[in-house]
Amino acid sequence: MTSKNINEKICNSKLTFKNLPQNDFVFLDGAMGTMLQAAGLKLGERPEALCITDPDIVANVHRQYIESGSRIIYANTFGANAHKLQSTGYSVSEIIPAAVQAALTAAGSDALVALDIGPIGEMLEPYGTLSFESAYDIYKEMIIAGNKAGADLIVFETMTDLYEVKAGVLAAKENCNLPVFVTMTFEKSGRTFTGCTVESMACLLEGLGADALGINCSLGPDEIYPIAKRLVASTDLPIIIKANAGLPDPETGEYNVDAEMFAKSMDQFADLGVKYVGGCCGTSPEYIKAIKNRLSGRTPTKRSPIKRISQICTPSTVVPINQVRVIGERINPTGKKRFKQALIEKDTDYILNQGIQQMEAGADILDVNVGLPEINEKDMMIHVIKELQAVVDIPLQIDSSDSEAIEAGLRVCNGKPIVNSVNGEPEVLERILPLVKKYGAAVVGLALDSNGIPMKAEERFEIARRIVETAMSYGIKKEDIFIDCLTLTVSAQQAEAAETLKAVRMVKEKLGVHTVLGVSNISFGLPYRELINHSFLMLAMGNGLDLPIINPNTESMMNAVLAFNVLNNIDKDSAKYIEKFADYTPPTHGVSTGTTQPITGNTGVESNNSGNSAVGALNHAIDKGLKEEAANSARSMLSTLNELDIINDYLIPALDRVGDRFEKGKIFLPQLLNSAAAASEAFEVIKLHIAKNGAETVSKGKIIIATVKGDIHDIGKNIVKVILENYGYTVIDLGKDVEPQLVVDTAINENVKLIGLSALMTTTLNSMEDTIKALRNSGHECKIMVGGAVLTADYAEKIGADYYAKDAKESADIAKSVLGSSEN
Amino acid sequence: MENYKIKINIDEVYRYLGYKNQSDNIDENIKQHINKCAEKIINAAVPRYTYKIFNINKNLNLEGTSLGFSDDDAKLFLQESEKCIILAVTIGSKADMLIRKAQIFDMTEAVILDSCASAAAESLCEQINQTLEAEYLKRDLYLTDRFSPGYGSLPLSLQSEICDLLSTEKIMGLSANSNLTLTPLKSITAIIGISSKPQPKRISGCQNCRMKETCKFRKEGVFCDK
Repeated sequence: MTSKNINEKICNSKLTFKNLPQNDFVFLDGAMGTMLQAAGLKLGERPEALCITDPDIVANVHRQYIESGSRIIYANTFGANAHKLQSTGYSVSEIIPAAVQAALTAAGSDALVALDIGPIGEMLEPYGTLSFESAYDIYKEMIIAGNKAGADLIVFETMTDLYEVKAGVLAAKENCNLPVFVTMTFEKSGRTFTGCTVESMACLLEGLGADALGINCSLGPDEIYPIAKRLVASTDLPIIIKANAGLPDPETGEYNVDAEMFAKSMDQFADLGVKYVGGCCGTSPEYIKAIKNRLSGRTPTKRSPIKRISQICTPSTVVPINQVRVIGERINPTGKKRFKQALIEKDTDYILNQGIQQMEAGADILDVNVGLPEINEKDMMIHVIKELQAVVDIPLQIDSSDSEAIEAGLRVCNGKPIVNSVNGEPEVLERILPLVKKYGAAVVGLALDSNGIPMKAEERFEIARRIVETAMSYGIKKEDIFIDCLTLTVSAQQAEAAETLKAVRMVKEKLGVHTVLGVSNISFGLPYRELINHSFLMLAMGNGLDLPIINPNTESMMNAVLAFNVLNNIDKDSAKYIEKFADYTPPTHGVSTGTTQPITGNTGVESNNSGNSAVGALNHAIDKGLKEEAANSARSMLSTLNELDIINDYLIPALDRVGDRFEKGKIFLPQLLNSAAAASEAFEVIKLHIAKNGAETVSKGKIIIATVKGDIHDIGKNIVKVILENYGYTVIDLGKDVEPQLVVDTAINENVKLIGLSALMTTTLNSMEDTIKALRNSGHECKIMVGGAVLTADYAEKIGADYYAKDAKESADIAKSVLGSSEN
Repeated sequence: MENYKIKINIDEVYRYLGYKNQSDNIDENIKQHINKCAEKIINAAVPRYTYKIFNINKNLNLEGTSLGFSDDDAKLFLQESEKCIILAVTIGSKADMLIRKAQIFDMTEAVILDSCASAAAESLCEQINQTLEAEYLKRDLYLTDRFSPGYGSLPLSLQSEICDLLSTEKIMGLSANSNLTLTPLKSITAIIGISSKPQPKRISGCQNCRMKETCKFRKEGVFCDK
């Protein structure tokens, strides 16, 4: 602080955030946009430009609010971000200082000035194309400019996407020391447009260190009240309410709650203990004055602290650890050849499929471990987490021993995750715990240290105690610390199973924290592992295990949790149990089940293991799109034929026949894809067989496919992918919205001779052309095929493509002519 | 505001999927799959919409706004209109998530869901259009065809201008990205003229359509106006 500032502070007793009244209301301002429109701003024009063209108009609005009682005014910077300012010709570094200055001048020593930040105006991934990192940069630019211009605090408002809020709050926390307020906009359902709940908002933003939370816009005060009530019950942070003046008439745009009614309905918020009160769309200085008058002579009701429970979340789902919650263990390469192969080949779909399957089997949380010496774990962690949270909406557990991978995962995770793990080694605690605190995550502490896993429960307990104490000294809340007492293999260390159970009980009872256990380790080396796993899980839950890490696809394990919840009086009236088992009939005994499953269904083919009838069954299964049958036939055929013969002599001819019928218009896209899916099951069986035998992967050559930069319509590209894979090509799928340079780099690094590009929008055809140019300029020899709804053969030629594929079938024909149909 | 229910015209779904009509040789299991997907979309979709009415001046500018039309097709459509309705609809982002998820484990499902979701957005737009048409008819006013950015010569860049004009981001969570893709994906922005004279159908036949050269229906001899 300069001496001039200090003098000013002494002379004018300048208001600061710290000397705002502690136990009284702080009045905010009301609408800015509608005030500026009343002063002549046209609809569709950006109000922020006025800060430069006519700052007096803006300052005048601020002054009116201050005269009405506002102690915090929002600078006219709501949309002053690089994206929204594009159309104005002004830059962020021009608008923000002008806007903050206009507000500071109006405020004098009577009010604080907030740098007001709204949504960027473009949807973030996975809904849109804007990356989390770009969103961070856009907000960072605003925050640095606002901080420099002298704003007193940062306010994010009218936010609907919690991921965007996370980018913003991180940008604020990492680039200034100002207090950060966040208000989001909810529908009557209590969710934002993207499905975010108030509970998730509180769960994530408390952890990220927001200074006050609240609700603004969209609804009138009475409609916001029930949502505000839920927010008050979810956080101890101060609450902000800025409601609309009711609802607008679609014809006239007039709002239906006048200033007096608005002020009257503030009573209920005062009773809730809301501290920061103002108005949003449709309100004016008159409203702020009315609120101030109405609330004068009283203070907000004192709030009692909320009951703290352990919880983690995604934007749409909070998972409280108030009962046993299953952590799915399948996203992990340890001991899984097929998963390792997927990681090395960047076969993201395989990994995502593991996630979806586990979620559908009832997992509450997904463990994500993508560590493999051959790959860059940090990059893979970012990639897998981003892709995973686009398709599953359960919280994640970031599982790594690499602190860089952990931090990268924490950063891009959309929600509050668990970090797995730290242990009793001081060096590990020092490295990881600050990350857990910074990103507001929960953490698993393993009860081991540099001396290994202690044999005795008491020793493990001692390490656990140390971990809990250390974590709390970093400011991590006790409810966010979980302890893993470690499962040892019972076939090797039989006496220690009981020690683990004893340690679980001690940690739960004496330390009062939740417990985690990787259950499946227990049964290594024993036959009928499922029985041991199941029994150990039951015992562990009985001793206080809250978070078993298991394979949720194993029904008996999930059933054990269901039964435990009945016996432990969690599943009230056994409702869930009955729902699942009401129609249960015990399996009939005496039916022999061989090692290979019999071919079932209406295959029209005799079910046995002989190769020949399996060929018929395979054809039939692919024609009709029957997945299980296709897999079973392939399994049978492997007993008499080698992998390549099955692919070349049976699978591909079967696909050709289907493709032919598609071309002739005898069948349509859904049938083609069903057949492809069936063939894909057969392929998967063959791939597994090859992986088991350690042979080279079968491939007819590599093809890169990508939806070009700026385009997020990837359904067409994915159809092509399915078909090409079925023909035995290795498809490197770069996804959607792909930078030209990534296509070039991948083509060169992987030496790929055929590139497929897709675009659906006329606006992204330019990106397609750019990508083709970049490939040509790189000097890499390759053929390029293009496709997509807006393309024509002529246009494809014009932009320099070698081939135009009108549909997926044709892309396979092109692949055949470029790469040939025999394996490379 | 009316509460519209999401409806899906199954015939349209079949058409999007490439079938000429339902009596085409279609597997029973695919028919069932289509019905199931339609149900999933109906459950996932959250209809949201907003519109505003503007006066149009001689130069085809919307009064009180920074938006105007200069292309030939807008001139043709709005030649007898004194006012126009600017409309935006979406079925929300949950449908996008369903489609995205299906693309991981079942492309058939993804393709069918995608078609169902497109049909759902189209039907929502149509329902609102019909309600407005009936209301205006009571006042002896007539609506033109509904047309959207990207139709004919109407530039796609109107997509983001309409979003700004209607504050769709605030009101319904709808925005256009820098490549003018609307997100959520299953969303439509549209313009409908209001005139004191009965309005002819101007979108009939393919000559007004930007998809003319690439339309797969047209190649197969299927036309939108039947």
